Amino acid sequence: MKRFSQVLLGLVALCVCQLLLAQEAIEITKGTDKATPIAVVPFGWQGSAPLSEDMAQIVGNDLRNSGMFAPLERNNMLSYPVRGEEINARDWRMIGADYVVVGQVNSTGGENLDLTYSLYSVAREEVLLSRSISGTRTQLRDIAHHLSDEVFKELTGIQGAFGTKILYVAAERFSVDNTRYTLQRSDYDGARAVTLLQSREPILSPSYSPDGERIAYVSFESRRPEIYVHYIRTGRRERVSSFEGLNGAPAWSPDGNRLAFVLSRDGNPEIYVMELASKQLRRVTNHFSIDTEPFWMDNNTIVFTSDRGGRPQIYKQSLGSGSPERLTFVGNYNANAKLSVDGRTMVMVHRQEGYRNFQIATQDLERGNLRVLTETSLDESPTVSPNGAMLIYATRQQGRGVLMLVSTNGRARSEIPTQFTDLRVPSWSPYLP
Amino acid sequence: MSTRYQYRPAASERYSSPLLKAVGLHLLVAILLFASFSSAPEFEPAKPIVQATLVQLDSMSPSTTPTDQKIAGEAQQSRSPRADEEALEKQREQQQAAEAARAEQAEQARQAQAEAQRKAAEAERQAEAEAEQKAADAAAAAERRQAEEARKAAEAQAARERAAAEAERKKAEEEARRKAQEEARRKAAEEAERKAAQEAERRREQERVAREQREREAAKASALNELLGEETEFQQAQADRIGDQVAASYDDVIRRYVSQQWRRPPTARNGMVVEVRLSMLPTGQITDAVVIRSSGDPGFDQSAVQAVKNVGRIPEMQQLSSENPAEFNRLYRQRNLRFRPEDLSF
Repeated sequence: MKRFSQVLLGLVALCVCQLLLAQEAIEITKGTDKATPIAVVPFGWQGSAPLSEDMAQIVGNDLRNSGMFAPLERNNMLSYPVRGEEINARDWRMIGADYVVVGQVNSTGGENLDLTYSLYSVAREEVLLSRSISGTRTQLRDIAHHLSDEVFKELTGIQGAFGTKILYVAAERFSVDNTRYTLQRSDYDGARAVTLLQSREPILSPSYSPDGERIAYVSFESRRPEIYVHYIRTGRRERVSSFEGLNGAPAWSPDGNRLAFVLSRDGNPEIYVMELASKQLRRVTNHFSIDTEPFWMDNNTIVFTSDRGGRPQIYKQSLGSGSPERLTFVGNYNANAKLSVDGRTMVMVHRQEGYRNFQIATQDLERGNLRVLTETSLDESPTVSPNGAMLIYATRQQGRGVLMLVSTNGRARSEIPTQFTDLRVPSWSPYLP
Repeated sequence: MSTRYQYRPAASERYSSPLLKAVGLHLLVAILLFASFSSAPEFEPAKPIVQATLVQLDSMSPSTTPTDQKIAGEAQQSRSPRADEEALEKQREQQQAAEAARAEQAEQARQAQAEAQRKAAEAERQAEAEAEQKAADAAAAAERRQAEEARKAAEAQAARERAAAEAERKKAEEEARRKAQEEARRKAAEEAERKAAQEAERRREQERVAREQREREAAKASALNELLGEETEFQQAQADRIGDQVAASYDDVIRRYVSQQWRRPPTARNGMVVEVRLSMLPTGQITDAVVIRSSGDPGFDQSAVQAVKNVGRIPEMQQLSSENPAEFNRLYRQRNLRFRPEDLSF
């Protein structure tokens, strides 16, 4: 009897297994995404003089730049509501919008105004978000970027980085031996550029401190490379490194207290870390090959480029102890790594095996998979937005340096507009208050 | 001692006198030596300091020469009147004894000094040897350490290279496996198609034959029945044999159709999972898609359901359901799809 029941149990188990096998789910791991269609309707304006900026246009561009949204053409819109309750779902379903953003700007006396906006879901036929932002006539771009941040956060769950800034160096060449270098700070989209520093000698590697108050850069103003820390608010400058040989590639620690950079005072380029308060210097790497381009992974870990393996690759070094760990294995050249703030995505200059051109690639540090993002060929100096959704890099077009903005998903790309002819070494700010 | 002393004048042979003197001298020396070492601390026990010993040695040597002359003079005087002889003798002996003692002491000092020198040299040599050994040890240790470090670095490098090679190899293997599978699937599909075509051709042929046969002779109808019966059995066997491969290829067909229609919302993240059950008619028409395990993100769930619904119909299913309805019923009338994105940038 017992034997019989055992046999029966075995048979049942077999059948169940058979059933499970038959019913095994089919795995779907890839999709064919499209940017989410969204309509940003021109905002209403109650006031005398027209506004100097088209805020709805700025919002639309922001959302497009993320690579996750496709703003619809204004000409195709069937109606132009300015308040949430005026939205008719059918009008938007007709033209294929998933979401609608409407807004109304009102003057609140003098230069002051406020913008009341709503985000509407066409599928659910309801307003998801309705808020008000106030400011002055000179802050229209800030207000628009703030709106973009809030809509982006609501729809994606990711903090928006449209209110951030970038640094870059512009070179204006007047004659063979007369070039003016300026350190520029602008909105992330290139608007409202401000000159922070001007020099007859090159300026390199600008880098924002994590608190957004200071900038470190390399200046050749005394005809040799020296590292400066520049206080944005006051314009005060402090020379922090002027050792013999190379002083280069400064990078701020996440706590803002230390600066990692490259010195060649001991013969060949090595990574050093300086405690800014005490100016105490500590050598991090020690190898006869070239170690350069440090970037902080966290307060205790630095990633850098080294050719110790024969060709430039990215390594990771703990400041505590231990030997460096190689991070990149795909491609015969990987350099100038930067990380997204969440530390999951690494962006770098990459050369594929068997190719001669340099491109920007991202590497997922959890899964390890690498994706080449750019189609240009002399790409360098990638810098990532703090939320990791966008990156800017320098490349060359018709012999001049340009900055390209590309979404991390590779779907959106555009050139950063500028008044200058030659741009280089972009650096993205942290989230700014 | 005093007894021997008194014995000597009695035996006054000339030849015995020097012998006695010598014996006496030796005894005296021994005594004095003992006495001087026990009572008089003029000579500190020689310390093994090289310079100090040398000074003592130098100061001793001039005193030995006059004493020798004195001894020679006294030897001549020994032939002078006997009254003085004893005293002289005594004096001489004392002098000789003192002299011998001094010589002995000098010898001792020399020996001590030599010993000290030897010891110092030895110490020096030893120190040198030790230092050399230490240096050698240190060098060896450093070398060992360096070698160890180099070995470790080499090992680490090798490990990294191995890991890279391994990863590469795995990738290649995976690729090869995937290709092989694809190839197998393709071949199976081709084979199935070919076989189906052959089968159809054969069937047509057989039908033609059968028709001819029917037309010619009704009597052969039983043979025809037999033939058709065999035909069904063959079909069943074939379907069983290639069933699994066919199923795999139909999974791929569904995967392809659904992936093409899957538009993830902006809230989608790699690693989210939603499971959807689809229902299908034998025509390949999708009649339903419901979430059976939610991801927790309604938009993401909806995107999966919508992807299945947007597929509408999978025409390839028609073939399977007509050729092998049992297999279709078992695998595809209802089937779960697990949506788990891996290709997003977040």
